[in-house]
Amino acid sequence: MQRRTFLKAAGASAVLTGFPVHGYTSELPKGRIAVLFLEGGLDGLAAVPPVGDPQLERMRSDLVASKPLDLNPFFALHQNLSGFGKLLASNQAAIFHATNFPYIRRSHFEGQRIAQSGMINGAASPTGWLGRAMDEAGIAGRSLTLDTPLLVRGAVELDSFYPASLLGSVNPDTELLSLLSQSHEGLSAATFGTLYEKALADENLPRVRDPEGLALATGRAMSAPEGPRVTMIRIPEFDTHANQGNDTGLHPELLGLVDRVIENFRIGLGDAWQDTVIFTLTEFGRTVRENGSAGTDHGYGSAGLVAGGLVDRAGIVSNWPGLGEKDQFEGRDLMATLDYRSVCAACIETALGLPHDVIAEKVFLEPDLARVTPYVFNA
Amino acid sequence: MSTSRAARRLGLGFRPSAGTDLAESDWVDAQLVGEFTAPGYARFDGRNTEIGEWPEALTYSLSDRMDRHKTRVRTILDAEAKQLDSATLARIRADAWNDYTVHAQDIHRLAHRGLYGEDQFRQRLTWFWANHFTVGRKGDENIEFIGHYVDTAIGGALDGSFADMVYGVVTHPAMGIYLDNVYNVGENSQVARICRRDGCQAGPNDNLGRELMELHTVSPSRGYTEDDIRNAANILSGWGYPPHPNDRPPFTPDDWWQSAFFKQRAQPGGKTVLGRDYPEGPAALRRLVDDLSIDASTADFLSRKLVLHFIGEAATEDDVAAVREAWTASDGHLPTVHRAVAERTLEPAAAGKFVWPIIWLFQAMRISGADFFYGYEQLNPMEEVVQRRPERVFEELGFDFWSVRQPDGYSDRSEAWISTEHFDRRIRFADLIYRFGNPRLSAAEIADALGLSAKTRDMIATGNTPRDRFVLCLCSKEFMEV
Repeated sequence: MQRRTFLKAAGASAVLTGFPVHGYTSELPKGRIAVLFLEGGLDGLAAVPPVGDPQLERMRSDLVASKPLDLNPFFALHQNLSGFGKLLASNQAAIFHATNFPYIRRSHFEGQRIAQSGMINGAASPTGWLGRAMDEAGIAGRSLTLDTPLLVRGAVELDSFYPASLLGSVNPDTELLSLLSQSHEGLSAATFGTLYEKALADENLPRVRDPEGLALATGRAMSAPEGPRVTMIRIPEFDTHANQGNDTGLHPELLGLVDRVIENFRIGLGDAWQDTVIFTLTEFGRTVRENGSAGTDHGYGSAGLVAGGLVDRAGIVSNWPGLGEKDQFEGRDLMATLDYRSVCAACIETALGLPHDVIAEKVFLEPDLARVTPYVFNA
Repeated sequence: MSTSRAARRLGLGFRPSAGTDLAESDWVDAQLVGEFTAPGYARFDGRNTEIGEWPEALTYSLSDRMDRHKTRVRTILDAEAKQLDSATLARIRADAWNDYTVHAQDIHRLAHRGLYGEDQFRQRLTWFWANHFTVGRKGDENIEFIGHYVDTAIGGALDGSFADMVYGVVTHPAMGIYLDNVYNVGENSQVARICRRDGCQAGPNDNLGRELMELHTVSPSRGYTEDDIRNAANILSGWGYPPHPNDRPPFTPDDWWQSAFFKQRAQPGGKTVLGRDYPEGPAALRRLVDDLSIDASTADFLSRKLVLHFIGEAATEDDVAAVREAWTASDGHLPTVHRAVAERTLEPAAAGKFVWPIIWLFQAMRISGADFFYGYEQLNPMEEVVQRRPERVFEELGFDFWSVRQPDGYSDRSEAWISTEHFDRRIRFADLIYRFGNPRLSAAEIADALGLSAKTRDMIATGNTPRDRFVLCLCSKEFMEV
C-alpha cells in the first residue's frame, strides 16, 4: 500500500498531512492481527464450558454441550470449535476465561462502543483502539465490512473489503477516482484516494462476502509483503435470548462459523500464520442461569479465543470466579476477573512489536493496564 | 435558503417536473401533517410516465399478514411431518417462502414512494423513527410484519405524540418478535407455573424492557437499575404471542392483534419503575410508556439524536436546546418537534450533513429525474441485466430495514459511512443511474437546479464524457454532503 505517497502527489489536505506518523521510517513490524468481533455477546460458558464446576448443569441444563472436547478436568470446549481445539493441541491457541472489558451495564449499545473505542469513561470516542494501534505501529489495515466500524476508525491507512455484487455495474475508473479525491476534503478525500490506489493496484480479489470467504481472501492478501497487516470481521447474532441451543441451534452454529473463519484465515495466510495472532472480541458475556426461553440474557464476563503461530503457550488462562449465586456478578452474570483490554494489549504487543507501556498509554489510555503477555506469548 | 436546498436538507429533493415555487415555510407546513401517500407503477418500461397509486391488493393488513405467516408455518410443519427427502422438503420451504411472504412487495412500495412521493420530509421522518425504533429481521419469524410496522406503527404515528408512537411500537408484532417479548412470560404467571410443573419452557425475558428504556426512551444517562428493567419487562410480560398453528385453543389473528395482552402469561402484582408504581393488568403498559415518554432524559436524548440526523455533526447546543424546548413544551407532540427540527435544519449551517446512502440514492434519482426500480408486476423478474430490485439495491447500499441488524440501528455519524466500499457503491450507482435510469437532467442541469458552486461545476466539467460528468456531479462533495 502506497497511500502516503499518493496523498503527497495529489496534494492532500492539511487535515491529513497533519496526522502524526509513528514508526514510518523504521522497519515495519512483521506480525499480523485479525480481530473477530462477535456482536451480541458471546456466551463464554457455552463456548468453553467449565464442566468441572458442579453449578454448570444446575444453572443451565439446556445450554451445555453434550459432547464437548475435554481440555482439562475442569474446562471443555464446545465440539463445534474442534478446529480451534486442534490448534490448542498443537500449541497454536489459547483461551482467556471470565474476562471482559470493565463494563457492567449490559447494554449492547454502550458495550460495543466501549469494546471498540477501548475507552471506558467519557463521551463517545471518534476513534477505535485497533485504529490507534495501527497508527502507533505505522501499518495498514483492512476492514471486512461495507462500512467503517468504530474499532478501526482513526486509522490513517485503512480500506474496506466487502465487494459489490451489483448486476450491470462496472468498476470505478481511476480517472474519476483521482478527480474525486482531489475535490473532496478530509476523510472523504483520503477514502477516494485509497480507492484510487486499489483500482491502480488491481489486486484481483475474489468477489466473496460470506465470513469464511472473506477470511480466506484476506488471509491471502495479508500474506503478501505489501498487504494489510491488520483486519477485522464482524460475526453478528450472538444475542441469543431465546432457544440458544446446546449441540444444535443458533449459538452452536455461530461457534462453528467462528471455527471455520479462524481456519480459513490460517489457510489463506499460509506461512504468514507463524507471525499472526487472531482473537475474538465481544461486548459482554451472558447470564449464568438460562432464562425462561431457553436462552441467556446480557451479562458481564465472557471468554476470549486467541489463535495463531505467535501463540507460545497453549492453555486456558483464568482466575475462575465460580458459578454459584454468591460468586456471580450481581447474582446473575459470570464475574469477569481479567480485563480483556490486557489480552488485546498482549496481542498487539506480540504481533506489532509495540511496548506494553505505549499500548497502555496511547491505545487504551490506561497507563496502569496489567500486562498478561507472558501467560500466552513468548515475551 | 432556497426551497430546493430545503428539500435536500429535510427531504429527498425535487424531481425536475415538480413545482418548487412554494415558499420554504409553506413547503415545510405542507409536509408536517398529512395522509400517507403510496405512489406505484405496474411495470418499469425504461421511462415511467404513468405513476398511479400503489394497488390495494398489494397493501396487506395485519390480519392478511398473520394469515400468511400461519399458512407458511403450517405448510412447512405439515411437510416436515411427512418425512420427505431433504430436496423435496427444501423445495416446499422455498415455495412457501415465495408464496406467502410479502416483503418484496413492501420494499417495492417503499422504493416507489421514495422515488415519486411528494411527502419527502415525512418519508425522511419515517426512516429516522424506523431506525430509532429498529426492528431487524429475526430469522423467519417477523419478515411479514416489518413493512406494516414501518408504514403504520412509525409512518402512521408521525402526527401524534411520541408516547403514542412508543405504545404502537412496543405492541406491534414486528417488535414483539424482534426483541423477544413474545417469549417474555411472567415468573409467577399461570403459564410459567404450569410449565414448571410440566417441564416446558416459559419465563421472563428482559430484552424489550431493557431496550425500551435504554434505546427507545430515557437512555442510560437517566440512571436506572436492573430492578427497573426487570419491572419494565414484567409490565411487558403477556404482551404479544407468536401465532403457531398448533396452538390449542387456536389464536385467530384478531385475538393476537386487537387484544394482544394475555393475562395468563403476565406477571401478576404491581410493579415499580423509576420510583413509580404500576398496577397489575394491561393498563400499566400505557402508563409506563407515558411516563417514560415525558421524562426529561427522553426529551434530551431524542433532541440530540434528531439534530445529529438532520443537521449533522455541525449541530450546536442551541439547536439541541430549541428542539428540546419544543419537545418539553408540547409533551413530545411530534409535529411540533418536527417543526422545530425543520426550523433549525434550515438555518445556515457550518457544514453539510453526510447523509445515509439510501437518502443519497433517492436524491440522486429524483433530482436527476431518473426512473429505476421494477414495478409491482415485476417482483420476480426472470432475466436481469441490471440490478433494479430494490431489495437487492438496499442490501448493496448497506441500508435496509428488512435486514438482520442490531437494536441500536444504523449510525448517524458520518465516519461510519465513509469507507472505500461505500464510495465504490456511490460511483457504481451513479453510473447505473446514468446508463439505465434515463435521467432527464445532465450534470450541468443538475448543478443549475441545485445552485452548485463554481468550484464544483469546474470539477464536473473536467469529466470527459456526459457519463463521467454525471458521476462526478452525484459524487461531488456538495451532492454527498447536503
